[in-house]
Amino acid sequence: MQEPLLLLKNIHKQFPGVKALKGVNFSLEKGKIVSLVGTNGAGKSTLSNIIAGIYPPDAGEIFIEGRNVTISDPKIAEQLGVGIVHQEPTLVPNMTVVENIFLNKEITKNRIVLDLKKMKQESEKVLEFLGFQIDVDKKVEALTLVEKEIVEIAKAMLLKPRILILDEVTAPLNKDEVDHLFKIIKDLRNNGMGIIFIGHKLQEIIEISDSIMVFRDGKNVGELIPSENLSEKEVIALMLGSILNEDLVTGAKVPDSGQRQEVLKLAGLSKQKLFEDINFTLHKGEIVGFAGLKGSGITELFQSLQGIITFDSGEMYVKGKRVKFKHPKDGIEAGIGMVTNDRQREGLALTLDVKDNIAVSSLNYLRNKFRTLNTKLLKDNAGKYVQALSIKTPSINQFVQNLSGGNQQKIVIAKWLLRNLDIILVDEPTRGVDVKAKNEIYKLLINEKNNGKSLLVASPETRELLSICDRILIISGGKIISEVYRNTKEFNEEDILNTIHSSQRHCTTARAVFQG
Amino acid sequence: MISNGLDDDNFKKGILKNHTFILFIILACVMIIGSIFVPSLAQKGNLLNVLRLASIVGLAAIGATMVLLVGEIDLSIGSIMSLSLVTGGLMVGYGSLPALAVTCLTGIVLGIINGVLVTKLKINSLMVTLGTMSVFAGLANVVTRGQSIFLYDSPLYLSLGRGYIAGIPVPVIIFLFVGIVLSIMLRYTKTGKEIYFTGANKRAAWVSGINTDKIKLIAYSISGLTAALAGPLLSSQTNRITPIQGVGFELSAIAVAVLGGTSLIGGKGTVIGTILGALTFQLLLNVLTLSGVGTYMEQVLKGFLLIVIVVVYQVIDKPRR
Repeated sequence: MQEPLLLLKNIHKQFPGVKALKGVNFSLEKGKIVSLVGTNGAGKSTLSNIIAGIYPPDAGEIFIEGRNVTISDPKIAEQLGVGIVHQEPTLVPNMTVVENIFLNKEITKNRIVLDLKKMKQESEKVLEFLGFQIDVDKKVEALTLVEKEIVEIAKAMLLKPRILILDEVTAPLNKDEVDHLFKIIKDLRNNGMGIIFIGHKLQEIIEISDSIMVFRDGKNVGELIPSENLSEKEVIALMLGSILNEDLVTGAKVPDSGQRQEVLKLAGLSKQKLFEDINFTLHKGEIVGFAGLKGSGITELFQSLQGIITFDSGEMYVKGKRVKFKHPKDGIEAGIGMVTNDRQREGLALTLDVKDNIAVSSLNYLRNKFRTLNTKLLKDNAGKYVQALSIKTPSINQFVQNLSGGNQQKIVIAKWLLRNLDIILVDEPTRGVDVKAKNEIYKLLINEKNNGKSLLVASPETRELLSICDRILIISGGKIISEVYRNTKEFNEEDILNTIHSSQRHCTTARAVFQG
Repeated sequence: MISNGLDDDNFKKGILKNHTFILFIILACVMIIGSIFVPSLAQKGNLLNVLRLASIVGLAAIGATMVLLVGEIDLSIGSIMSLSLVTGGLMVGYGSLPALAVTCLTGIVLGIINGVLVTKLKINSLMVTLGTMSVFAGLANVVTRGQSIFLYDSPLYLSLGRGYIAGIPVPVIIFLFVGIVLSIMLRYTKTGKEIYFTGANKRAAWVSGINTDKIKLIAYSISGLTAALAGPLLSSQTNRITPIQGVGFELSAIAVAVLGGTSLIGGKGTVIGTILGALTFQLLLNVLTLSGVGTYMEQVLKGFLLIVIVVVYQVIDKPRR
């Protein structure tokens, strides 16, 4: 019998406070695509990072074509023929495409002078193979999201790996681009490459995989072979095990028109090149969705409502009072806070603990009469929200960097709940969050609405908006182009996507480039 | 599920990575090994001297700690010390108290100048304080025209550095007092939490509603004040104020803060760590001095020590993932 391309035996890995892998066995044959699925923190990324030499396993053995290997660093992984495209971007923005592709692998003439011509040719060859034309002399910061993703893949392909790990590569891509990428991935497979595919979009995974490896709590709990009959539901059931057997949260209650109290009103709000003439009123106890593609200006609109950036013109009223915030602090004091879509950069202090991250914006209210902090009150409140949001952490003293993405996201939300804001702006509430945590976050948002809070929610997943919002505004090119209400016939995924995409055709792609 | 303590695994790994714990061990080792090779180390007089000098450098190091915690650096500590000493020195004729008050005030003002330059002009703090280091040091010489100011007529001023209260050197008392106050500030006040948050992630701190400019300004003014406070303690050791008293002091202060476990990228460090760092640092220097290494070598060793500390901590802190 032929040895499998890659074989992992009884892999264990522990991080501070978290057992990430508890005895995982895994094998990958030549010319196969194996997907790893599981909730956040189930161990998918840990496993792929171990294969790519990012960190060593605590115990267990790795065989490549029957040979027992120790992959102690990424360089060795490369030599063994392992290529990886990471979930997090790894490109250097102010370097060109070719410089990025050849980063640390530069070709030289006589070992001194860079052979730029050869590097360019090679880069173009790889990109051409991937079916994309990108100017290799362009700086990466000038590329669109899609182009950046392709360059990431090209970078991993450069050394012609035998094993390719793709960690969440389809996240920024639209349907056509995903189709295109899948064609390439299948070609690679047919040429004998072994591919490990990690993702959250189950439909895609069923479409592309030869086999689906399901992870739960650091163990692989089963393997599914995609066929006509395999449904997303079955995969989810295995992913969640007995943890959860509920359907997605649906059916937000539309508030009675009688008690519609205005909390936020925008009139002609504009910011150059980002959003334009936004007119909109938000009521108490309402969740309003913002649907639009990446780069449609929603993020910036939200940011300007908290004062993270300032709008150029137009009027903004909070509970009837005209405001213009110059500092994020001003927005918070007026009762508006934004749950960022980039929690690591602007939501959390990763090296601090859970309680301090939750309490950071509410310290004014956690003091005793000597104006020093009431430590007990702080701990109690942090503990309360850890419990209420079922944040998985060994303790409130755990460093946030040791938590999974979904739990980190909940901490950002907890920060604003503790502060008791009236208006919460949520930009991509479930980015990088697994199915179970997603449901919990939806419930949480609906619960806040029922408590009389008002929420604006932006999401690239229309389904998400449909399940929690009372109405949805469709944004394209920085403008509101349409509005759909729950309980109308236009309130469905297909119509909304059609509206977005048909408007997009008339739009130049320049905007996307500008923002990407 | 929720507990307030560290879980066991965390604790075991934590203690090996806990700088305070490591420092205790290092301090004990230096003390024991030092007294074996240099018996005079353990003499009471010598130890009191070590404590006194550790308190002086420790004071400035606490200020350096504050600035490092918010993710910036203060290279002008030594120059602030010199300049605030001489401006205070001009007042010695009016008595010790006015002199000391002017010294402290000058320190705070110079700290604020640093803070404003860093936050309002958004200049890199390494460059700002490298610049002000030179400006303040130069001004100190301009003010006194390079002359020393003698302190023989200011017994109160001198007693700051040389006096004892209940057998404890006054510098030690001042050091511990400042240390305790700032330790409480960091742990139990809003400002303290905001200092850590700003250093750990400035952008997130700002978005979370923290006035990060104000926090940095506070850190720099504390650094200015502690540098100024350390000055008279040092001057009274030599009975005079010289305009070059603080030269090189920033290196000792930053080395002590880093030795105490303060991160150079911000958000991590404690006053207690810095206090232990100061004791360890001064004890090490003392061992070297007593073993006859000589004053010139001392400067070489200080710089060398700083590099060793940073390297060692980098190894300890290296994430295992």
